[in-house]
Amino acid sequence: MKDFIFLNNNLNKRMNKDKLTLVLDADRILQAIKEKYGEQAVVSEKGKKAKDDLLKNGSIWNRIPKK
Amino acid sequence: MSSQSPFLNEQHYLFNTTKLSYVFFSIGIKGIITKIVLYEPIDYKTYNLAFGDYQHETQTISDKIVSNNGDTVKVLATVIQTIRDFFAAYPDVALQIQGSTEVRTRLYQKIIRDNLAEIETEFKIFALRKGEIMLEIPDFSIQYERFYIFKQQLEQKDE
Repeated sequence: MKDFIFLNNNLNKRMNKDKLTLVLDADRILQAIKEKYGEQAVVSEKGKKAKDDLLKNGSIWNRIPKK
Repeated sequence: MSSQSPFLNEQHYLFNTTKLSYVFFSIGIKGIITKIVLYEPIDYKTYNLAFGDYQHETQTISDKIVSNNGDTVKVLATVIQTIRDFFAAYPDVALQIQGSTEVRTRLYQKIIRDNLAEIETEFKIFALRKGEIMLEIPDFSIQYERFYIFKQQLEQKDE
């Protein structure tokens, strides 16, 4: 995880990184997200509100009007 | 003059993905900014699109930051590419799209309005207003609360 902080504080160095290094960064970030939140997590506020809406009003699949 | 949408056809950034999480790098006037797109399961057939900047120090995602990195079209074109990629993996779900602020929701609505004909070749779009889901979007001067996108099924199978 220290890598992220180091890289973030050295944007100029990061700008010069090659694509392979960025891909490796992306892989590490994806792994960090997965570890922090889990693969099926609802992280955003609007995602959480949508879950509340689901409990209150039901699935949107049951609310789509018939033509 | 091309009639193709800049957002749907603009050159986009490459991304890494686990199909529910996407990472790409915005490279612009302020440097390299890590962008995250998450597809959050609301129920077993509905997902929410969450999009924001990755905060390296805290390892969190913020959807409130305005990056102003000078590459908005390319960033949004990349998000649209992730939507295509997501639907390739999950073709039978609905995707909820709503900005983290009203301003952003208006921006998304403007993009949908300006590109509706082309979007509808790939997707069906419903809008939500006052809790009511609208099969068609009758009036773009109205601010909708959120949008639902479905992969366009070109034909229904009876079998």
